[in-house]
Amino acid sequence: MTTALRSNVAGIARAGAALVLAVACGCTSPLPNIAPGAEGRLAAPLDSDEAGFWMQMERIEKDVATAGHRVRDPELEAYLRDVACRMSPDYCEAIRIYVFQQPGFNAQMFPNGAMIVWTGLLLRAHNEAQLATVLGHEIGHYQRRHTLASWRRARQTSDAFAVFALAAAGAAPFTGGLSGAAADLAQLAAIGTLFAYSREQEAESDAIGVEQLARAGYDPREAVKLWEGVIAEDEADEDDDQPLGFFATHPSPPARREEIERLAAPLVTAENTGQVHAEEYRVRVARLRQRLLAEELSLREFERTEVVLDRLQASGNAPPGEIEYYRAELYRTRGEEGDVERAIAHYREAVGSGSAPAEVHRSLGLLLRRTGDAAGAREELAAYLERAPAASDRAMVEVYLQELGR
Amino acid sequence: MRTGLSTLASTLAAALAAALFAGCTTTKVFRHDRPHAFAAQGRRVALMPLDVELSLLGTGGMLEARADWTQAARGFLEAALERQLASRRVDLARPAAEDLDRDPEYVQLTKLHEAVGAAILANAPPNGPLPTLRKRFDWSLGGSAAQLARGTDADYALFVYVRDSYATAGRKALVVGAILVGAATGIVPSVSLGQQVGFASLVDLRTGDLVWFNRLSSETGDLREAEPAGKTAANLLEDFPL
Repeated sequence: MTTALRSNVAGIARAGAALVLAVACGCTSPLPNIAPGAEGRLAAPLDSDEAGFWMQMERIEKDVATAGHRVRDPELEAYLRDVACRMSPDYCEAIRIYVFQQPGFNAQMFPNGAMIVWTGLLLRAHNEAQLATVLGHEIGHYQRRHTLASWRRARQTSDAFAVFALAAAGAAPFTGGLSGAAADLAQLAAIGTLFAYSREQEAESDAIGVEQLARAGYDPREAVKLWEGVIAEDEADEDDDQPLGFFATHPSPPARREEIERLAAPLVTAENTGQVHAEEYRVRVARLRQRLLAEELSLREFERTEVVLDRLQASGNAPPGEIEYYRAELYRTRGEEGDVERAIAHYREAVGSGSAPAEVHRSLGLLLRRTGDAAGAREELAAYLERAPAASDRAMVEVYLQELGR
Repeated sequence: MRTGLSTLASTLAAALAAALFAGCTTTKVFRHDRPHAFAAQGRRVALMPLDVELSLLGTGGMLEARADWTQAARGFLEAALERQLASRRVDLARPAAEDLDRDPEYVQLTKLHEAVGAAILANAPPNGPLPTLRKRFDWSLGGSAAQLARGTDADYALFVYVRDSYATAGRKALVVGAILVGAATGIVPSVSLGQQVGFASLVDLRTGDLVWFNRLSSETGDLREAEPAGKTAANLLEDFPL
């Protein structure tokens, strides 16, 4: 084979890669908003890809609705729904919210209007405006039909790539394997465009969320505060293994915070300073808070949880005794150098505050017993039984008390 | 030159033959290891909501679920199954899907059945079987299976699962391209044109045992039309024990 031909074919392979990229990067015009359908019914025709998508989502939603870790709390669901409707009256009928008992900062939106809110979000949002920030963001994904757009993009990329890969396979004997490398590059570039596309969508949903916040009468600056919390957690987490850079599907939290701040600033005017609805939110979530904190602790992401506790304390949403109790629990569970002393100090703070749950006496008592302080242990375990006479572990604690010599 | 041409011709012929005659239908029936006395039990069968999904197979191989095709196929299959079961003098019961979907216990049991069915498909030839599963067929949903057909007095539950895909024009063109590439290089890139896979599974509601299971794999047959859908139903019910 002549060198001229070889370089010709290599040229074709490169042109093919360029073609894949052109189609993949390309420039499908954004989809129009989804029609504000009544009661979550799709307006698109039955033979469309979107209808097929919805059919699949309905099956998934059935699993979501009957999932074991769904928090079946009609009062909470109604509250979340009210906030979502306040944020987006047009899509109020189309959105269904499910709460999953899952620590961590997240919510998920399905293209058919089903939304999952993780309980970890309720611990991180400190007022209704911050909660609304996330709901509005998720509704933005729904409104802008992001999943469908991503899927269409993925299909286009995969189609273009299949044609290119076949052409490359056909050309392989003539290009001496060069096309293989070109194919790999093309594939990598194609994957990259998918991730970048998703980043654009996140930014678009952020913008929709901020705009809705202001329109619904919330203070849009609360969105910034929510992101500051996320950034603080990320910074505290030393072994953060989130994928970054090229493969990141979300823009980096600092970039998001900055952009949200830029968008929020002009929306705060003299007549619309916005509301946060802190008290209403606090009351709604108060009932769940201890469970949320226990779940959060179970992740053993101690650095992150420290930030969560610091921020919760600053928000004033939880009584000081509760914060101190969970801080102590964190150190006791972590068990690093000096953590026993730290835990005891925070338990004592919690007891002193008078606003800690009864379990503080049990935890402190057992820890003192471990350190050999029998008198202290006795006192705390007795205090536990006094405050919680019907405790399910009463018999066990009584055995400890006997051992310690009542 | 002459040999080159004839090699090309024979490769082309072989590739075309492979593409054209690959379209066979195979079924494989399994019965539970523990002998089941069908005659000793009633003939009332609850036909569970069919798990059917039809998709479009894109040029690059991505599946696009099609609601219209699925709806049509489910209707045709359901009608054909009802007709064919009735002709076998099976007493059919239909649990109300709408109520059941909100019942977590029912949903969990159907998910369990889905998982068991998928495991059987994965371990049935040509993929399997796993060495440890060879010659054994003792799958069961356990004693709570009766919850599947609560209120129907059924003796058995019949599950039907079908996935089918149909190639786009682009995909078909890719296959032609693949054959040409195969002719030129001697290696035919494998490009599927869509496949019908499915199973029918009969669960004894007293024990939860999968007393009969039929796996279907086919490269022909169009579920979007009544007649071929009827044929698929017949294939699914091949060697049905009632």
